[in-house]
Amino acid sequence: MRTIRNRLCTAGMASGMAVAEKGRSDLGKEVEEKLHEFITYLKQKNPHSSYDVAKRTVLLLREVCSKTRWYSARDLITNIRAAGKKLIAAQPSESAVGNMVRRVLKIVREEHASCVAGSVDEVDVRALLQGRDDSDDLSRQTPHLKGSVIEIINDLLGELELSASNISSQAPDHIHSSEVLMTTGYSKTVEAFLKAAARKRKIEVIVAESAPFYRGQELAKNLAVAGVETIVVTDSAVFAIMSRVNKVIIGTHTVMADGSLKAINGSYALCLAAKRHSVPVLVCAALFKLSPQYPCSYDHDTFNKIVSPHDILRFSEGQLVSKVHVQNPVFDHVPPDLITLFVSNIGGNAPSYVYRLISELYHPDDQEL
Amino acid sequence: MQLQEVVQRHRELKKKDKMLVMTCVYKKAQPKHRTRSTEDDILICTNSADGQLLHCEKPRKQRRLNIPLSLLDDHREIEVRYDLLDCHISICSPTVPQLFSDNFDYQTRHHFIRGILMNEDILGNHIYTHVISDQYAARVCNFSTYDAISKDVIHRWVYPLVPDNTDEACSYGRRNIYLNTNVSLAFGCELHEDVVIGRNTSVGVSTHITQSSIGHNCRIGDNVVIEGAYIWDNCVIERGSKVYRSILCDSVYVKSNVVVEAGCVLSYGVIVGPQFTVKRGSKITTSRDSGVPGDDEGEWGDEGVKVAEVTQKSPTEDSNPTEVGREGRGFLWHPPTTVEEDEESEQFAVEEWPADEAESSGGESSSGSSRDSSPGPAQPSHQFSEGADLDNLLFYNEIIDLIRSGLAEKVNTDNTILMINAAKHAYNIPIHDVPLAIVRAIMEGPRRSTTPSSTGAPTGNLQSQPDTMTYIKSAVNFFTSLLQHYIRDQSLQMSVAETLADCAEKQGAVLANLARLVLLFYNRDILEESVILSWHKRYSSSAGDLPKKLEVLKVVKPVIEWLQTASEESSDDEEGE
Repeated sequence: MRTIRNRLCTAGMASGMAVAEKGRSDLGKEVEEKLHEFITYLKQKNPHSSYDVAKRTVLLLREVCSKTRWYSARDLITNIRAAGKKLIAAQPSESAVGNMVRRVLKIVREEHASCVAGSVDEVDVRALLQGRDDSDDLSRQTPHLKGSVIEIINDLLGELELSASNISSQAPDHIHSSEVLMTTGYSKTVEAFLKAAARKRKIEVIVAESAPFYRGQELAKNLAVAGVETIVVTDSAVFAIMSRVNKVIIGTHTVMADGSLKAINGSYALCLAAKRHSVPVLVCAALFKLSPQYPCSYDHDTFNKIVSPHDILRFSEGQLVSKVHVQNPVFDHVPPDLITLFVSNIGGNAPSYVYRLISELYHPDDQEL
Repeated sequence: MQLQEVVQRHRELKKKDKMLVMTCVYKKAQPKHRTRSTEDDILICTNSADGQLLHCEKPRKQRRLNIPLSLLDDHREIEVRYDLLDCHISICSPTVPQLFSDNFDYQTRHHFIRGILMNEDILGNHIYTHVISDQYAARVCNFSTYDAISKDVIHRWVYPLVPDNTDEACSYGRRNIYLNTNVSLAFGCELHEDVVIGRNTSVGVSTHITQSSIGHNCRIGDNVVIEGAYIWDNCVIERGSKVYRSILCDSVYVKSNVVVEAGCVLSYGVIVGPQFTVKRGSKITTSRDSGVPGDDEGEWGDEGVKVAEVTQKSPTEDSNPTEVGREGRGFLWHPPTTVEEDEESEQFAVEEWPADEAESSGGESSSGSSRDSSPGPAQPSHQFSEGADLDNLLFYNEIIDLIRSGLAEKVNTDNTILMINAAKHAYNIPIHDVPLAIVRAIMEGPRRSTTPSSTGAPTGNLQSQPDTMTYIKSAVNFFTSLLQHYIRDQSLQMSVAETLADCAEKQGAVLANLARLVLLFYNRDILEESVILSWHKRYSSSAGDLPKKLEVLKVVKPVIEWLQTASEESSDDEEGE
């Protein structure tokens, strides 16, 4: 109990200090330029591949570690926070950025702790016993911190790169022979997963085209080229065809802390249809998509992304344009009870276990940047 | 929109077509689309195969279209499109600035495009079009487009350039409501739909706001109604006021219980009220008779008008309470109505900010004359003759001036050619009329007085014959290369000869020396002998018994005879060999 209170206090202190030091956190010219470039990318390019975003974020944060001036872990954390805040403000709907910032912060904390005490466990035990946190240790200078942090960040990059193949290697465990699978939209992870399954088993894939972006057609084409038996259906046919389907496999943009999904629109309808027909829903999501955020309101700007309505109503429609409001949201919110299993790069997990993964991946002090 | 794609295409086309000067971007939008400005209404013809722009026109309210028939001959397939919105984006080649400086009378992009198209045969420059349908680009050029484009931004057509995606943290809510940071909304205030509110702005109790955008640091009081208004930064609107479909510039102060009716523009720092109604469509500024609402100054950018107004501007007087209310500050601005003084002022009658939808579809744009470049000084012919006749006359006057000054100051002939070309473009003179005008100018030059104010009518201060002749002679000698530059083929030479005779009929001095002149032209290789002979044949057959013509024939007879013998001799020589 006391520990928790201490934790809260230190969190408050840390954030207070972060605000105080924000003014003088100086990232250096080169890093600022890269940061700016990435922000422009986040703002303009649409849609983003979240793997791309995650990787670029980690690369940028590695630059922050290696190129900015810092003397202690606290300085470094302040720098990373400052950069992370700017990135998140640039595109709040890209949760991969925030996830990666938190992962890197956790790495810094762990490495600092291990540098100070030699072992992470030891520190934790001592902190628990003495009711003392390692917060005051953060300002202590540690000579080997930089090298080891960068090393671990490189490991993280490797993990990102391998995540798709790790997920697809589990495909034969989840998919049985001559099954009918259904998916919607276009996700690289799902594509790899299905292709891996098709190599081992004979499967049939039904792809909902996911209007108004129609990226499902892209996926269907890629699968057909790879020799998978593929059928494209319209979004409205999803429910009708669900009775034939053995498994629904979808990708997602983000996994929220309660196990719900922020996925391409059309996913919610698909999952509801699956629930109705008791078809299991598998979500292929690498760990970098795991966000510590909760969806607090459907209007919340960090949740959905509403883009130009031209996909739905042509701008050239003349007078109609001035008479109607058209909203074109990109994402659906899929509640956790519609999902059977998450397939992540470290194995399969139920939605109820997501909170545990989050507490492993992120440090509690970093919930709010 | 993403320009890379267009630039890429421009480069590819440039490789194929070396004479490509520009790629214009158009966006698909049906007629009567709200973002289509009635001023910029445009009709274009393109080659359907490669999108080359062939013809471009602003139909305005005309019922007829003028599409040159030659287009149909030259191209296999033509697209005529009236469903496009001019985005005013052009990818230019490096030659464009040069073309602009050569033809300094191209005042707008539209002139430039028309000019290029008109001279396509001569200069061979091409313009290509690029039509976008899924991206957004448009330009604000008057109040109604300002309104329409603001609406497009609020409705997120321009994504990712929307308020919540800029540097300022702006939240986006249902019904297109954008709130910046530190906005205070009092209890019971209602933001209905399409509302943007800037930072540090406060909104009072029971205030109703819809389809409006409000800037930073504004203070909106209680029980205010704001519908369809654009309120810029640092404005104050006190309790009980109503603002409909208007623009309030920076630091406008609307006191309590004021009604601003639709279509008003209140310029920087204006104060109105209390208990006052600003009449529909009024424009109020802080400086008397000089204010153009700041935002649009650049667009209208007519220095002439401003200069005119500066002269009228009287020292600032006290505000008239009937114009802005008891404690108000500001003056009603009247658009200048004196059209005959300055053509440019017509542009001020541009499209009124539409008071409601019905009116806006009516589109009350007044046609700003497309020919903005006509010189300011009043010409006698100016009031009654519009169009081609006037153009011809003005062009001719300019040529006369050019020839005279060129001769007097010994200007390099190349420069004179350049200036003549420029004048030609300015007045849309066909190429074959140019040499005729030059010849006529040389012949008639000495008769005209030098002041441009009276160039329209010959003044008749005839100089003595020898003077005229020496002038013409020296002019012909000096401008030989210029004449040779323009007079190239035989049909042109023929018309030059006809012009000569025409001048001779009218001018005694020319008539007396016509023989010598013809000889001079012949010697200078401007007119060929065969042309002179065939002209003579035609002329004598048409002469009949008109005394003037007979006189002309009589004068040139010796030359013709000499030429005939010369040609016979030469043909004899050839036979002999």
